[in-house]
Amino acid sequence: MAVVARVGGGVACVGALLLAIGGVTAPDRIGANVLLAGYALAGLGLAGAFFTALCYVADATWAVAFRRVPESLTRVLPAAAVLLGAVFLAYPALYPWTGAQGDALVGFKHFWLDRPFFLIRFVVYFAIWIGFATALVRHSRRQDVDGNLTWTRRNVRVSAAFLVVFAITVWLASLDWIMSLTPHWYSTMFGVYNFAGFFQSGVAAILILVIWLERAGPLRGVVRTEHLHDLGKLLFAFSTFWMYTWFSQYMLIWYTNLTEETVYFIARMQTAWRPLVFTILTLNWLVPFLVLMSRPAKRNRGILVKVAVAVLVGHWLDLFVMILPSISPEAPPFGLPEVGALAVAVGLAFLVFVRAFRQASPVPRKDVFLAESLHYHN
Amino acid sequence: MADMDVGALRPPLIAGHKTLAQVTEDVCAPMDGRPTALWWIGLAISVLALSLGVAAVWYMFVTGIGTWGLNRTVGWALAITNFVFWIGIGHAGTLISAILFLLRQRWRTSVNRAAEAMTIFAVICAAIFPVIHMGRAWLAYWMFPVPNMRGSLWVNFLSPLMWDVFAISTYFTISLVFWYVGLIPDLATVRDRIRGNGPRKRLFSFFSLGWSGSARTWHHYEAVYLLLAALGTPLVISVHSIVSMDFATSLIPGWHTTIFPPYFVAGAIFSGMAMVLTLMLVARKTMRLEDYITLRHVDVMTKFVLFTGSLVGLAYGTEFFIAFYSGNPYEQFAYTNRAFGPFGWAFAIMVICNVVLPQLFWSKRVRTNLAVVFVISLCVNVGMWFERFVIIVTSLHRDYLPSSWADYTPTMIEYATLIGSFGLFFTCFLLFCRFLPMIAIGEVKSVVAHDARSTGGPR
Amino acid sequence: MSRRVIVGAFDRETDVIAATQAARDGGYIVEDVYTPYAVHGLDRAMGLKPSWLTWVCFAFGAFGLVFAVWLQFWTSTVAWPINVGGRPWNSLPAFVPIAFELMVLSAGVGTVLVFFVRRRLRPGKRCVPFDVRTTNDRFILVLDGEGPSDLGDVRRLLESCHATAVDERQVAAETAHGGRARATGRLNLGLGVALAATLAGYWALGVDPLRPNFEFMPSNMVHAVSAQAFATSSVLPRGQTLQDPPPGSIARGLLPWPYAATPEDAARAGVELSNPFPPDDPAAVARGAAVYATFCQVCHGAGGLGDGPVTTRGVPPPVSLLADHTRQIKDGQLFHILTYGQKNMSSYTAQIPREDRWKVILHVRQLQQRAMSPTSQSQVQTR
Repeated sequence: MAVVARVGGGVACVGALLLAIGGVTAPDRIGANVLLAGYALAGLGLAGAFFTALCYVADATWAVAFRRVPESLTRVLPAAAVLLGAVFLAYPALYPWTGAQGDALVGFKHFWLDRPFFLIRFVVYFAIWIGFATALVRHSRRQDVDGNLTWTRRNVRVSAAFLVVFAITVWLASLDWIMSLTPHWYSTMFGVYNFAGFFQSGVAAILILVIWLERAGPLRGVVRTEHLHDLGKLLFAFSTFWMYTWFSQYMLIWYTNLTEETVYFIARMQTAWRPLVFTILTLNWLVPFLVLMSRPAKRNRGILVKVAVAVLVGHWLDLFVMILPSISPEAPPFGLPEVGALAVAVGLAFLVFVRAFRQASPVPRKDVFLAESLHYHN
Repeated sequence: MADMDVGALRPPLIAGHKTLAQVTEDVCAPMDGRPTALWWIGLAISVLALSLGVAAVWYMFVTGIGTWGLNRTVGWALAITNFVFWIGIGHAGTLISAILFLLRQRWRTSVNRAAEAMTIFAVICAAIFPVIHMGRAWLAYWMFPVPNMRGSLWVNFLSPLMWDVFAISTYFTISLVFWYVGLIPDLATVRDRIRGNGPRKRLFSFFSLGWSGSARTWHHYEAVYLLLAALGTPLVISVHSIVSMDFATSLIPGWHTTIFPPYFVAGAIFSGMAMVLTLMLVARKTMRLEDYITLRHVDVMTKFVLFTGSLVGLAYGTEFFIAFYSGNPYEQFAYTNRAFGPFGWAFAIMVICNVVLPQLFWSKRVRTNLAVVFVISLCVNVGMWFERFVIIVTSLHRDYLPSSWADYTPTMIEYATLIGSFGLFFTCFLLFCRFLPMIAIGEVKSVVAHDARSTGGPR
Repeated sequence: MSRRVIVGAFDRETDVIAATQAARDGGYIVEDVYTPYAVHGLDRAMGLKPSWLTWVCFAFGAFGLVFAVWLQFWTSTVAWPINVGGRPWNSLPAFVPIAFELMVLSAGVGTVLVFFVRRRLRPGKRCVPFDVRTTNDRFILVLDGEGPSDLGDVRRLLESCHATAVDERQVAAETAHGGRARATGRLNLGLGVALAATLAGYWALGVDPLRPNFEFMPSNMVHAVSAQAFATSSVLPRGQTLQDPPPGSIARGLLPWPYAATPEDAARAGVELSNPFPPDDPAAVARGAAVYATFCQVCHGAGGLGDGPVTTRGVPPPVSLLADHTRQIKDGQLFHILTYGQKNMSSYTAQIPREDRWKVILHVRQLQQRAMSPTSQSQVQTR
């Protein structure tokens, strides 16, 4: 495991180097690519926190056995904050509304898309997310020491509160960071769609990590096929939910055909970006839907990992298609910045995750519901 | 040691340490003997309301759609409000029987049968409204793509109203099948309980399809039930999404917004759950089912109401926020008018009942106080009716052209039709409670056995 | 024919699972187990394979999906394309909802029907249970008793698993199959009779396929409820449905024209009427020139001198429009001439609409003015 952390760190460094070189060769794409990496990592961390909180609130004890995995994923959030903060401070020109290239905004939008206010909101979102995630993880780890049930009770309350602020902040963050790249475009579904993508890719990441940790040792004998089966069901369900949000948004805009709304899809569906959109739909929905429909597939580790990787790739491309067309409207760019951003995100994710996972016992060993999680049947 | 803790945290779902035979007796008891006076009074009121509705619809058919308060600007109002309201009520049944089944929520077994029945009756109530709204209900079959001698002129598959036709009819059929498949083993239980060979026995024999309880049949039965649940889950989401698209595919500010599909689904589950809560609180008292519908069931359902109510509140907020963020003056006007225009009072009712009141469920004391829960669940039903009213009427009544602005006041005929739909719903529901087992006997028995295994108590 | 089965009764699901497992391990053939609810783990104890209904469901779902997509595509693009808001005939995103619904409908209903058929569940089927309490609170294990098994052994085995009663019974062999054959026979007979009756009825009634359908619900789209304009009315004044217009009404497009075809009225028109189009309206002048070229030029000539082509073929030439007294005629009177004609000239009301008559007058005035200008004056004189 330590090896993986070192490799992760190395990959992240290489990625940073590539980004730096890319900064010379293609300076205009750096900001967008770092935003992509930061946003993807933020999504991963939020998905971990959301998964943990949801299990507490819904009394879903089956997931206790591998709860340390989503818990450790939340530690990605500070890394995401650093990347995003760097973009917002160093590349304000990424956003057309910063005034350098954009036309004037009026009314409420002028007030909302205001640079100091934007930065304040950025800090507030991350303060909330990191605060809640830290509380959840800390309570869970303290339970390892004394096995006291009050920690579980306390985390149920923290989780409930977190879910409320999570819903609001994720919505606003997706609007601030992504939707405002096209300042005159708006869609009320956008936040739900982003949440669906986050959670879907989060479940895929948890699946990969759980299977890897089972093979690597720490979770051997703890994770059973039943857990993977349930994670597979979640991946199946949320892939379909993601497709549902995508389709609802697309179909309503396509059907109504209003100029101020279609700009977003024209830029992505009637340019050289079009094949990428269909790739995303295939990877994020068609593949998990068709493959995971059958029960044996959901209980097969090899198939699950392959599908989860497809979903993660699809999610990365999905974010790519959300962000990059505002920089490169004609065709999808590919070069050092793109490779570098991907390397930074993957490397940082592994580095931070492994370090966080090794800080505590791999299993919440004194959680009262652990026994239930170890012995349930589908 | 850990196991003991869990036992304390997980009280049995069915109170009173029932034996299997006791479960049969308790659930079938209301079907024996004479109905109570309360039941008769309820039925009398329901049938009266139903007759009022039938008279109103008959009068409308004979006289014309002008008996409603619609005008050129407000072309959809009470009838469509009632339609969306009832469809929403109908969502809880499939939610409880399908989604919670997939989520392994065992508490659902006590309420799923009644909720599914409720779904079917609510969908019937809902389907009536678009049909009578057409004015010539006898031509309703034109909505189906049957080969005909008009050309053959096919239906317009690009119209969301046509999607509705398919969504509602599919939803009704699948709900009915789901309900009936779940009912078969229980019908057999009742059949074997009846002595003699009277008409009642023969009726139950006929509909129980010769069910013998064979494990080989149960084996396939379980698969069918799982498949129906897996089909029902996306179905229930699609149905209200399609209903929302009746509005969202239009160009009308206040209707056209992309969040409508999930927002309507959340609202539907919210109102449906509130309705289940209302009915179950009454049923457990009047039919002495306190051991089956326990405080734990109520607690979970109130949490569901709280969760979906908050989602609905988030959707309201999103709509307003984006209207102002968009900078689109028509959007801004539509939402300002919704909150502060002539129908501001309806908007206030909607927000208070749907968003504010359910927040009381954060408190455990409120969740365990059944009187308060009952009142809040009623308020949610009222609030969700007003939500649909607000969406439909306030978006329409102030058009792009101030010259075509109009008011809307429902006529007595429209009120009578609404009352009639409630009459139909409760008539069906009361007859159901009286003549069919209103709790899934077989499923509750498996929960009882599970409880007995996990607590180690007597079965 | 009857055969022997061994029936064991149990009170707990755990017992019946254990007994089933033990019986199978002991080499007995488990015919079936009857339980009041779905007992988990029993399928494993009985060694049942996973249900294949999943595949049935998948097949029906695929069928519903393909059918729905085909139906929508074919009706909307091939059979009867309708322009709906300018959307393409093949609007795939709009077909998705119905395709999904029909897929679910087909999959759900199909699976349940196959389940009923496969497990022989049908309305009205009689059930003869081994124990009437199987649907209440008793678990019944049925073993095949035809083999060389000893009842005592079986009893001991089942009682070690807490069986409450074990006995042997005779059941009619092949009951299931016999009953099924009889039911199928009856069903076939019924269907045959129904088919024959339908064909006979069709032949007897001699249905004419071209005759309009029977109107089971009179439609007011066919039989209008509104009054017919030229029918008599029982309620309206003078018994007529279409009422007289109120006095002073003007019919659309017919402005009043209170002038007779007399020289006096022509003079009066000259005094009372004036050209509604100003002479500096280029569009009106251009239109007037076009009208002149079409209707007037053939007699009056391109310049208005009265030398049109017809004059060379025997038609008496009209008076020059440029002559002094013609120039004195007021616009209104010219309009009167155009409307009623004068001397050889006939009425042009039918050919030239009212507004064009005013416009052509503008053109005539322009011809006259051009003739007055010095250059054209000299031209006239040279001719």
